[in-house]
Amino acid sequence: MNVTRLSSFFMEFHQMLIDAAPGKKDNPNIVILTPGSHNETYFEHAYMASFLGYPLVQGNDLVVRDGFLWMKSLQGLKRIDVVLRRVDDAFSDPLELREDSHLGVAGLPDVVRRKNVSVINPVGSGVIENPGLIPFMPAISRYFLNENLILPQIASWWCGQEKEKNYVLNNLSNLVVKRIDRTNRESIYFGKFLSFDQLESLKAQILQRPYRFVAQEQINFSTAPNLTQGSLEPRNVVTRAFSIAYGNQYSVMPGGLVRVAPDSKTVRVSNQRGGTSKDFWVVGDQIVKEDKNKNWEQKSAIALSGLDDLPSLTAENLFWAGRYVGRTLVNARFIRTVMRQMAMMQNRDEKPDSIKIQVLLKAVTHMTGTYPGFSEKTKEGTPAMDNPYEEMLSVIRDKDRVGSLAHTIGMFSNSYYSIRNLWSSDMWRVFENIQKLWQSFQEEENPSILRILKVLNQLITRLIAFMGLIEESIMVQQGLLLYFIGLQLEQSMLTITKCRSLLAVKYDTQVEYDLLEYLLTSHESLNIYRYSYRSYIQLEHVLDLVITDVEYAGSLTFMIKRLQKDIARLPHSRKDQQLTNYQKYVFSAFSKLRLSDSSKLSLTKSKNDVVRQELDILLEELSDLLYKTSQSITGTYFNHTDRQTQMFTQSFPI
Amino acid sequence: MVFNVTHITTYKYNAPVNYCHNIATLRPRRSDGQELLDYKINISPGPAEITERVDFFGNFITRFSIQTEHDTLKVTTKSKIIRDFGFFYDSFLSDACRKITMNEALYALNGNDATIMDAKQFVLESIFIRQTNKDIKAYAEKSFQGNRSVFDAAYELMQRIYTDFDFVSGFTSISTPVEEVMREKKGVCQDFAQIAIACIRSVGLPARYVSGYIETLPPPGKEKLVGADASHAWFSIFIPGFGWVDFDPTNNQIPKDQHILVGWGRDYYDVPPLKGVVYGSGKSKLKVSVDIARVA
Repeated sequence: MNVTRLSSFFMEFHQMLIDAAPGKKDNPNIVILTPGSHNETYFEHAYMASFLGYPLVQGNDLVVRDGFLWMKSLQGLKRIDVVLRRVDDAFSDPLELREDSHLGVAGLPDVVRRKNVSVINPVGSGVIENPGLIPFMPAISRYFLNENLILPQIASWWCGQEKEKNYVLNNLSNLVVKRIDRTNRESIYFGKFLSFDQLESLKAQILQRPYRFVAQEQINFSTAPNLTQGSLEPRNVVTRAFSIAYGNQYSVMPGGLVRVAPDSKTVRVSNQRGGTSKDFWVVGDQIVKEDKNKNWEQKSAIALSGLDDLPSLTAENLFWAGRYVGRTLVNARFIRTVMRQMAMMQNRDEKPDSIKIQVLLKAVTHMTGTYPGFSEKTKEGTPAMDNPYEEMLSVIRDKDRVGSLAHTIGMFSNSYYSIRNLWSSDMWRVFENIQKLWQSFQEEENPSILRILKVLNQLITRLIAFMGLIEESIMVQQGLLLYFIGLQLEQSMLTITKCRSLLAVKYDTQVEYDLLEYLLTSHESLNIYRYSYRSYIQLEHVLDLVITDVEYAGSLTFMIKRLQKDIARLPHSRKDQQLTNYQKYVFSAFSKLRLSDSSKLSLTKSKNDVVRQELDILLEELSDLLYKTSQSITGTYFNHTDRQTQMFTQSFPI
Repeated sequence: MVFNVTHITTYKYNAPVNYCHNIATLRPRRSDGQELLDYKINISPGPAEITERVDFFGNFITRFSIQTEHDTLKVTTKSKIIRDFGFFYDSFLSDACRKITMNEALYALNGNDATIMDAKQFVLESIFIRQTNKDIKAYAEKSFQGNRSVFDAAYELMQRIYTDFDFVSGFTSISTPVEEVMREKKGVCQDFAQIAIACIRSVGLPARYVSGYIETLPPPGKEKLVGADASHAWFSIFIPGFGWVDFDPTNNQIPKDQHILVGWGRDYYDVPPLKGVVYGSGKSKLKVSVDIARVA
């Protein structure tokens, strides 16, 4: 098929944005301002950002200082020349416009007035979308251009005029009534579908504020054939076409988007009402030549310079994505190990009599942070230990319980959702698989332990697939580095907690042996242990493998070494001179690990002593250092969290 | 009469603010019988940038931002103003002002000369004064009738608000809806001005909100306290063929020389003395003091 290519349209679009920059810069910094991932058109914004190579930012990523507009990036503030605005007019500044908006940038119109930034389309241009102007278009065209309109208009009556209002009120059942503003895009009334009462209430609304309504002739729309379950059926469609004003003329995109009604009866078509989306192509007679020489190199300067210019909000989302995915995986694996042991218990609803199970359960509480849980300090009420199944089920499924697996998965989904623009389509698929698996599991009543194990297995496999895809779909300078830092940090922290919960106290030889085996199993290291040591499981060897090994990817030392390497690549890190705080913390953690000795770590003070003090102290120090690392990284790079507040709070009843 | 007006607004925050963007409508505009002789604004801590412009309604808008960490924001303005409103005050006695009936006014508003077009926007709904329930209209229609003089109706509306409503400070805030003020019959000058505007618009006539100051006189035999004067607000109604006439429902009088005008708009929203977006956490405490001293 000879489908007309869109690239020349986007080239012009890109050039138009470059030319819009104040002072005619060669390489202006261009950003796309989006209301965020919950907006129905976010996909378009994200797609356009990645296609054209502009940073996708939210109001929070931008700030007005010294009369200029800046983007908060990992490295610091970057001056912005052009904003492609996808936030509604009234929401673009909480100072001069809607006070309750958190989507805009305080002071933006002032920067525009100073001609220090160009906003496309300018704030206020939304007024042109007023359908109340339609009846006046023929006259406007004749007055300004001395021409008649080329495209016919649907007959329209603006109720702000007496005669027109009366006509509309008398013919309401044959008309389509719309509001003239965009505050409520769903308010379209088809007179012929309204009951008597509904018509009367609409009349009352029109009479109360006639200027707010415009009515149009109800016309019969043509339909388009639509392939539905193997056969062609007629459907109403709405096409969205795009054009840009560039130079003295307009360019129209040779293609567009189509929304298709969900069934043959529906006249109103909208994505929110279950319609589907399609592309529309313009097909020509001529063979379309692939123009491979299109010069797309000349991309926005800030998009090219990579990590330094990553918007800090995106960076933070990636960091937390790494942390939550790490937390989900490590905890899911540990809980799986625990559930396997519980499957062998006589009665899952009674307090377990074996010490090893009790230790395992307490470790669950420590790792998930779902206190009091199985830890000693229970308040009044039945201790969780008396009914391990119930407590475990809550730790796994109660999404309102902070720290539970369900809660962590929820946080993981949120952080991924807000950086959707970085995803590949395979990632979507796996992500949706995880969501589906978990949703159906959430609804099951009283799942058996075997069923839980099965779900955990599936969850873990899909998570690993997902993690693999992240690494291959996102580039380091797109922010993958932040994801890795978050992931390593989280996995290290949980490994520390796990070792502390299982190993800091000395138990009977048999209990100890089992605990070591659980540790290795939950760490997916049992095979490696057998391969490396070919022996009976011993504490010293386990410590060597899980904590001090420099080569093994699952060891704490390895992870911290990797973390050290990764954070050195952050924009503010120093290589030669004095280290930044977060670098110092990680360096200190790494050296503590390198200086430790597993034979000493495995000892207690004396034969009768049960606490392995040296191990316990080391792990505690490491845990503290990593916590500080996270705080320091957050303080240095994500410090955009200053809340925006109004001096006065006022309602804004538009 | 010449006045020195000192207006001090202080915000104290309970947690440090890193930066803020603000808009102030504090510089008095020129208007009938009023000239600004001198004006100074002082902001502490010092703003990183400050600009002034004239807004859509012709008011002076000062925009500034502060980029140093602070826990107190203090904005002080000193204005020297000459008021000589006698001539305009007397013109309200003219037939052109007093004889226009509501029916005539509504008819004249169908015209489209520049003055009428400009006035008509003040019939429309505004941010704080939406078209409201029937109570407001019913209240208005007691005074506004087709064959009655618009001036007389507005004068009576002012008197009725003065008698029917209690001046209670602290009962309302800037976000209290007009309907609630109508129901409770309590509020401050802003509320009374906005009630009157809602009433006048409900019958189809233009009304605008005026922000300014009023000189208060000490009780007989007592010395005047510094800072006892106040930010003030009243309303103005448009009489086609004549022009705008101000009424102060809080004091039941037509403003003369003791009322100093700062700006006007559709309602409070268009002319807040000071507003801003603050970055930081925590709450703020506001203190306003106004002092008006006669120079001559």
